[in-house]
Amino acid sequence: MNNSTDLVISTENLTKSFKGVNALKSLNLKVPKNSIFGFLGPNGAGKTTAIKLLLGLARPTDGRATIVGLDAVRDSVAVRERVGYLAQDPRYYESMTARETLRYTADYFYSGPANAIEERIDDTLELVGLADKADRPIKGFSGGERQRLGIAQAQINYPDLLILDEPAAALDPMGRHDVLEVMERLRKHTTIFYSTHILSDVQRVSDTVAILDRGELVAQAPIEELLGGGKSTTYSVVVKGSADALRTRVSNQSWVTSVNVLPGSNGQTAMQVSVSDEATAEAELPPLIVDDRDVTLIEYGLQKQDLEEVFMSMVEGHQNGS
Amino acid sequence: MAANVVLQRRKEPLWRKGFVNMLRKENRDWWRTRRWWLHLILWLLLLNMAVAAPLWLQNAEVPPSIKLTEEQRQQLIERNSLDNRVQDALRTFVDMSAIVVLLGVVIVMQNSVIDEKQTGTGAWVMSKPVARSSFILAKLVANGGALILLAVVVQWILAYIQFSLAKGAAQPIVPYLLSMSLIALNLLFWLTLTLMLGTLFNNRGMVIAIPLAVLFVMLVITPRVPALLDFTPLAFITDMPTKRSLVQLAMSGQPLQTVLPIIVTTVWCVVFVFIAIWRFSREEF
Repeated sequence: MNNSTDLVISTENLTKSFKGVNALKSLNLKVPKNSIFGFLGPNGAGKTTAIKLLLGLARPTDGRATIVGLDAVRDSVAVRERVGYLAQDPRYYESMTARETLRYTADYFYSGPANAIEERIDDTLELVGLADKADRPIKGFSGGERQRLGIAQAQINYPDLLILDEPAAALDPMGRHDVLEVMERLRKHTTIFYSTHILSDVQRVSDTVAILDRGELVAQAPIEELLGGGKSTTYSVVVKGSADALRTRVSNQSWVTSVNVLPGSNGQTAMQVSVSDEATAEAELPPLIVDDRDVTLIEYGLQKQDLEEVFMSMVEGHQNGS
Repeated sequence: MAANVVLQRRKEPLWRKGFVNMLRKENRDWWRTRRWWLHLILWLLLLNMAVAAPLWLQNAEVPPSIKLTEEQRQQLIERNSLDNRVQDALRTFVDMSAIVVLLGVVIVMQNSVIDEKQTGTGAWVMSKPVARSSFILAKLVANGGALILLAVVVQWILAYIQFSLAKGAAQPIVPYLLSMSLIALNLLFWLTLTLMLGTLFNNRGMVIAIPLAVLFVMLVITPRVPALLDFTPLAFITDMPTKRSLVQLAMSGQPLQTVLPIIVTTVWCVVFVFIAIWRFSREEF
């Protein structure tokens, strides 16, 4: 259980309805400090609505949210002083250059010598790789450049929390790569809370994830826990030879919860062995296979689930259950 | 990254958090683009040319072939007299200042808030530490200041020069400034009304149509119910059978018969601004 001082975002039954339709239903979210928190969900799941509630851009119908220890409604302006935000489809004043946009943004946060502000702007432009385009009007920027500028303006106040709404959704692979790289560079400075439906990106940079579907939180956990399947661990075993006896023997172990046999070729059999006690399984499963004279062990390993599989099974499970 | 040593967090009262920066940006949109001189030329053509025509262009001589009675000749001479031409020019100038500027204000302001809501720049700005009241007040101060300066003050100064040159003597300055202030207040009425409508609607058509409808209703109703005139800025420029317009009274140096229209119009402006702030504070992006 997280101590509340270790949390940058904490919501309690946060709810938002539009004309009687619940866009967000009693969201209870805990985002720990210094994490890269992936906020996943299919389109229309309520991710952007939740983000707007956190920033005070919309008002909750019910419940409350605490951001960096401040109430998201009552202390909305103070929250925005300590948070950086990149919108899903960011829009700026097109006639401004990147530098002017950052100067305009910085002026909301800071007063001080102009050269110190310019130094901050130069640092930020460098960080997002826009230093060579700093004095070009934004209207000529590509999607990737706009997104990098978006991260720059969100980062200009060195926020305690950076909220990015679908930062890589509209980008080509190069643009996505650039944005993820910038996020990785920023992780040592701030907590990043970002929404996305691009699961490979999440798997690459996030340490904690939450899955939202139809306005409801389906799961929230560290990514390793989620990928490991949580309570059960699965081993992948491939053997050559007659595996019927082996299957029976493995199934009879008290620490084995299930054995799935998958169709194989060339006389090979693939099995997925789910266990409830990982330590016992690590010690006893390999000898059980090796000692079986009817089979030859070809492959053995801990099966890592793909985030996409976890995501799909959770969202489908939620949709079937609702 | 640069150490966060020299930069200080801005300390401002909550209600005007971000106001200075917003105002700077709005002023830049006026004064660091060609917008200001386009307005200057536009208002110059519309207002001071309207003054120049009756003031400097004498009526053509009547050809000898046209025979006039003595009475007609006297009327013509009187109409061409300097005093009459100045009076005509003044009346035209005041009417144009009130009505044409109204149209200009509505056209300029209809985009001011709606554009920001529809393009998403409003949501971006509001994701920064900016009070909603600052957003509205910055729009009011920057646009109000620019329009009053370009469409009223500058035009009235140039018109003053024209009137003084035509008459060969300086116009009395205090009555002239009082008249100008009333026209500026009239402009603020329409500006705050349009600003408020921009927060209430997302449709430009409504924001343009409603002020014009309000003007139309005023023009239709006040002749039938003259007592209502004092509750509208129309009292500044409308002559009634029983009383002259406030601007004409002020211009001629006579005491104003009532200050009620000034008070009521000021109250309207304040109410419009309050409603705009109240509504914008509830805007969801």
